[in-house]
Amino acid sequence: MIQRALFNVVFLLLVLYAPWWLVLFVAMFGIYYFTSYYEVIGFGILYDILYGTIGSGVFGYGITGFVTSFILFLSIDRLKRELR
Amino acid sequence: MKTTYRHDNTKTRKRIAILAVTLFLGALFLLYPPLRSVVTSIFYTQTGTAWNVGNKTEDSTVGFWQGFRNNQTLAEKNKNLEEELLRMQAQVLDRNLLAERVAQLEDRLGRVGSDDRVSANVLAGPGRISYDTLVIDAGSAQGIVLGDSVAYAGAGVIGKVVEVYESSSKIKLYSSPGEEFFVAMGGDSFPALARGKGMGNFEALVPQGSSLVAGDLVSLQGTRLLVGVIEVVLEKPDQPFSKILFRSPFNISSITTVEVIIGDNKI
Repeated sequence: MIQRALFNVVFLLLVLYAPWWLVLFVAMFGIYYFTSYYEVIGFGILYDILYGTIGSGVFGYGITGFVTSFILFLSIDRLKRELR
Repeated sequence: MKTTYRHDNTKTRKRIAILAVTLFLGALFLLYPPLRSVVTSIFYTQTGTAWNVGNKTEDSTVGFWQGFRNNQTLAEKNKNLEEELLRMQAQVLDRNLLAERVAQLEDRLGRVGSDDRVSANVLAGPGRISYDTLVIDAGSAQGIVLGDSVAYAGAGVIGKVVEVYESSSKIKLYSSPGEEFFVAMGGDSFPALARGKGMGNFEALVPQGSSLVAGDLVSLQGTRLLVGVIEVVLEKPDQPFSKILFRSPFNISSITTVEVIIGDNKI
């Protein structure tokens, strides 16, 4: 539990300061490492709120982070189940 | 004897319920503009400070290690000089255009052409984030309003303000994919509709035989603000239009400060 909370703090700092590709990589790691890492979708929403604008990104709605995190969550979680 | 297992659906149902609620809340926060604006405003009051602290920490950390690492010091100096060079290049490119347009404006308006600008630091921008957006540390408290144009290096225009909060603003770059705006190209101010292609790149279609060549300047239509420089003119004999590819005269991802042109929201 503490490990997950610490990871969330680090992830938040990465969303604020790190390049997008590093955030993406850490998000994939988080989903794979933790059980049902729903927080990643929250961070995706936060990413869009901080940086996105309506009229840009996915379909012009500024929801790149949300859509990416949702797809990553579903696909990596599914992959985990298949591998176990 | 055959053993049968009853599949436990409780976990699956719980999981689907959590995902459905997350999907609903995410869509509500992001797709309903008034709510998105309120949430963004709340976050910006906190993150604005966090970004400033982060930038200062980064600066002081770099300064500390510079004393120990000569190579790193040189690299940092080189980076600063490169940025300064980009600024100078943009200013030089724009100089002739400026002189000509200023004279025209003064004639037309009967007054000395000038605009009111607010300088701001870039808190987050392309390269670090995946959007063609800049977050700056100036907002309504500094007089910025929606639609104000944003310039870099004193002249080159890069985007417009799309969200304003008390002490921060969001700028959508003209190079955002799909963003469309009118430009004037070359010495004859050839009019065209330009479209953003991301990271400071643009394209426009003009009729064949327009006499535009690589190196011609592109400015925002009806203004003296430089948008980019033509890189390539693609012509195919069987096509009625030529595709013009142009780009910002400076590296969008290395921008650290910008100028917001106050009251320039009618462009």
